[in-house]
Amino acid sequence: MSSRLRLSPQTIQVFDAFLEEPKDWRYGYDISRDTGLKSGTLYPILMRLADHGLLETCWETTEAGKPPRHMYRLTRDGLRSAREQVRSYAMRRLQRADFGEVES
Amino acid sequence: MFAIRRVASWLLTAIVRHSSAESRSWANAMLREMDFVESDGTALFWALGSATALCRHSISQRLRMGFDGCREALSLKDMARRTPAILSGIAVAAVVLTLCILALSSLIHASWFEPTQGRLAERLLVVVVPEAVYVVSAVALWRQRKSMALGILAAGMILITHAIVHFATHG
Repeated sequence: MSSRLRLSPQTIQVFDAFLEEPKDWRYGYDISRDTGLKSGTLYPILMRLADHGLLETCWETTEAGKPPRHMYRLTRDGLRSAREQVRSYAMRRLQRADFGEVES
Repeated sequence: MFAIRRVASWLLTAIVRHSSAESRSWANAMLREMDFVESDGTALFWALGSATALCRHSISQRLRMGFDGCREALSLKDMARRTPAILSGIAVAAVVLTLCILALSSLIHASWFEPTQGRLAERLLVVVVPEAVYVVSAVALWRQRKSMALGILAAGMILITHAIVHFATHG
């Protein structure tokens, strides 16, 4: 782990997308569509998660002639971290809503 | 509209080709995904976003490598390993300077020596000649004995600084 993971709201969105089907492998473009994040935002997050060992990546095996796609899935540490972070982010939002900072 | 997708594809392909080994897998991943982007305009934005992401990744990787290199160079263990070589470089520089001063001293006491040339001889033998020897020897030693060369250069820097201060204050 080279540096501390920055947990932006976009990272939480990505965690949310992975937590919908935690055991499934996901494609980059599908995550982009689910979260509404552009490739320039999504991929740096995926790279950081992979650097921190929270995300595993693999190339899809396809029949001959069809180019493979890169797939992503949270590791066991990634799943634990994602659940914690999503929960604490929701708590923070609730607390801020209580103080009238967030309208939701 | 087909042209837009071709431009997007060309852009990402060029980036894949020029990306570093660490980023190539990610660059390929972004390129493959572009085939599944429905509209051509979105494909172009996908390519531009991917290019930005890869540039940022590449820059951060290089910065990290640079910081790690500096940290490694400045680590205490490394310094301890290099210190004897640096000190030997300084010692070599001191010997060269001593020989130059002895040469100057014997020159001044020579019967044929003109006292009016004293200042020039002093500058030549105590500054110019040793500095030239330091630079030549540091360049020669740089590849095989870098630490020793650094010691010689450090001594050269001290000598030139001293000379500048000396000539500035004493004329």
